Amino acid sequence: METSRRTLLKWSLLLTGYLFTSPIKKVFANIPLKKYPDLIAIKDGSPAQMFDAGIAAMGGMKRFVKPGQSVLVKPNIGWNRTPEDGANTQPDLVGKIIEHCKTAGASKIVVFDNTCNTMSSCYENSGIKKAVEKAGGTMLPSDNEKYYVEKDIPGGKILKKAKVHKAFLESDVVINVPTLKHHSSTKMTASLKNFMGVIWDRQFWHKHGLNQAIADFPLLRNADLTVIDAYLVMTKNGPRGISTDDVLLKKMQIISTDAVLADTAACKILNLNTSEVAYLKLAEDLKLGTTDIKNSNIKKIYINTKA
Amino acid sequence: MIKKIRFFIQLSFLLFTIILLSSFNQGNQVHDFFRSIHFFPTFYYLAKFILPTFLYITLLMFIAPLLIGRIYCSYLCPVGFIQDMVFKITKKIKVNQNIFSMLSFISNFILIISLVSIFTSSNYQGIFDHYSHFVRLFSLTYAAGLVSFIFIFLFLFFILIVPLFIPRFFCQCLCPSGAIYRILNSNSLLDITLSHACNHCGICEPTCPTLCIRDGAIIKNACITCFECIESCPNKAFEIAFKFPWQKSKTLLNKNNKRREIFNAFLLITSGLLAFFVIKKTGSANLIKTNLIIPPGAKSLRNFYSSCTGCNLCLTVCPTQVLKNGSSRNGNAGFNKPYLDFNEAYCSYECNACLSVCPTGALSYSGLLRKQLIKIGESKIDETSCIPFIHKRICGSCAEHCPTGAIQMVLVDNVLAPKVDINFCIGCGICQKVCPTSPKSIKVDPQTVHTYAYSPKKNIPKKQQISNEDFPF
Repeated sequence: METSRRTLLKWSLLLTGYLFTSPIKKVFANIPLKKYPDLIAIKDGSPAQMFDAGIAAMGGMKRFVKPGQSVLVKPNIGWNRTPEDGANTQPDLVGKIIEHCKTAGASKIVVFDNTCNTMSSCYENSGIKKAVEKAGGTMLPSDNEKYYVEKDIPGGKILKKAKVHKAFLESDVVINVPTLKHHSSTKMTASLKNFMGVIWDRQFWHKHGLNQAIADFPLLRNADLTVIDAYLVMTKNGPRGISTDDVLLKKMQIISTDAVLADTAACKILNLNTSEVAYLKLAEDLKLGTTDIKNSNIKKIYINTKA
Repeated sequence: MIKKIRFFIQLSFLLFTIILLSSFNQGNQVHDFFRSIHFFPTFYYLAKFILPTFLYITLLMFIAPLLIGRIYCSYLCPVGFIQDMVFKITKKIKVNQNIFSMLSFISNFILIISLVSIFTSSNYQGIFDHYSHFVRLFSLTYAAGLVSFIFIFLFLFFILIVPLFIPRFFCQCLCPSGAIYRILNSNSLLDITLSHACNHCGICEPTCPTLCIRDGAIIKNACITCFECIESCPNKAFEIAFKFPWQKSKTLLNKNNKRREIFNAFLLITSGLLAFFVIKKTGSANLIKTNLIIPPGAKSLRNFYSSCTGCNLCLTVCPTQVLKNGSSRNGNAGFNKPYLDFNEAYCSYECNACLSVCPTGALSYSGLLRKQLIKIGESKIDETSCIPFIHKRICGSCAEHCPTGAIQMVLVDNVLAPKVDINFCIGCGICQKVCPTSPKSIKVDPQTVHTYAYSPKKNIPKKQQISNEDFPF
């Protein structure tokens, strides 16, 4: 090819143009685009329906799970009770989340909880084992100390060390799926308190200051996505509940990337003030998230159940 | 042929038993059959004037040996099968024939002790019962305690070592059910005798699993009516006849001399009376207070200790493994009785496995809803070590686990502290298990007599409560 003066000029202009604009591109890429809302609140649908609508508004599961990554879905399976009792996360929701992770290309999806009652009966009677296995996830055992490793917690005020389940540390993405319940001592249990199910020695937390320990733990690792199941809300006698008298059918769901913000919204659903749930303020002080729900970008979705 | 059939039936019954015992689930109907064919579980019920639902099977097993003899011992009993197999190792041809009368004498004595101890509500009634011994083998891996291990060791010694030298030693000497079958068999309608065709060749003698054929006669005390001798005789000299007990001619071998008979009877009566007084002194009527938590369904300490044989079946099925055995805190009476230890485990609210498997009725089955109200203990909070009382910060570990809502958090000096409502407390012990302090600040006090707690599920609405309010943010 013959190189004329014109082509040389053209190419050099293009090259200088590219060299000038590429740093600007980089700068733009670093500015977080407020494309998605901080918190999505969904109402009037089945747990699975609400998650479908909510995750779509959140940018789809592809935003959180990249192909080939391993995912931990951490529901609340603490009690040997049926889904109607509202003590555990709704199994449909857990199944739906696993399906979304699968379509996003997750290599391995694991589910576990360090249960309060006997592990096998909790997994079985909560219906979660069945839902997880149907959706293609794996239930991991949690009832032996050998599954847990000791970890330092950077910046923890009371909780300096904790024995944490291996899967919680090894998974690339952590999706926290608590259920919203009243709690006898902390007033509310939702996303932050659900992390008590990934550690071995819960009694240490109770012994040395429950609220501070709950706020300290996410310093080790916070959830990448929080989905609070407020479909059946236990409004009294929590966290175990005595009968179906304790639950209220609210048909709500909260999805957020900020666990503290999600908990703040959840405590409003339980008709509590933010100040009544002591660990929220403590977690905000440790810069784990914000309790300022008024200045957050909230999107509300109402699903017409008849459609 | 009969030999092969017998081996096959015995082996399949052993396997069936092992499969059954290692796969118990709640309310197993097969279990009823299994426990009813040994007489003793039925006797524990009858001693309390309760007619068990499986009584008809026991009656059937009572009539069957009167008609055809000890077929339970020879064809079904797994313990007998194990002894048969062990005896085949040494292949001994002869044992001293005087030993049989000695064995049956000891066996009579043990039968009397067993029956007296059952019908006098003694705490030591199960120590010879072969059913309990066999079931106890399955609890080896559990917290069965030293006494159970000694029992297991002795039982294994008597069924694995002694039968090398004396065939069917356990059945002939120690087993009280075997004694009943022996007595019934000696009065049975079916009678095996040797006819005149017998030429005393002695071919049948080593084929007998108990070696009870001597010089053309069968020692009735040791015969287990397996019918193996019949096919072994080349002259077909064995005859099966149906005779009423009074029609039977007593052969020389089966005839005792009169003085010996009177002496035996005298000895048995004195030993029986002795046993009665000794057992009455250590019987369940002496129990006043329990220091250990006894399982739900026990009704009361006396009721429980007077029919529990310490077979440890409840330990084997307990999903939380809260049941343990072998504590000396209730004295000698509780030396092999199960109890609940709440320091490491708790009694699951949704489970009634131990009640539904108990073979002797020591734990009476009454459905899950009734069991959930049985009060086996009462929680008490020690305010001198409980965290909210001394450190003024929340803990609430006990309250969050309580299945009945008996423990509620109330404000004491502006801190939420636990408070027990004993009307609702059933003593399941989960609060004691999860209490983070050491020693535990909340402990369950045992109840000597079990009562019922208030039902926490009184006001369950029929319809689900629905709220239609919007998001409050």
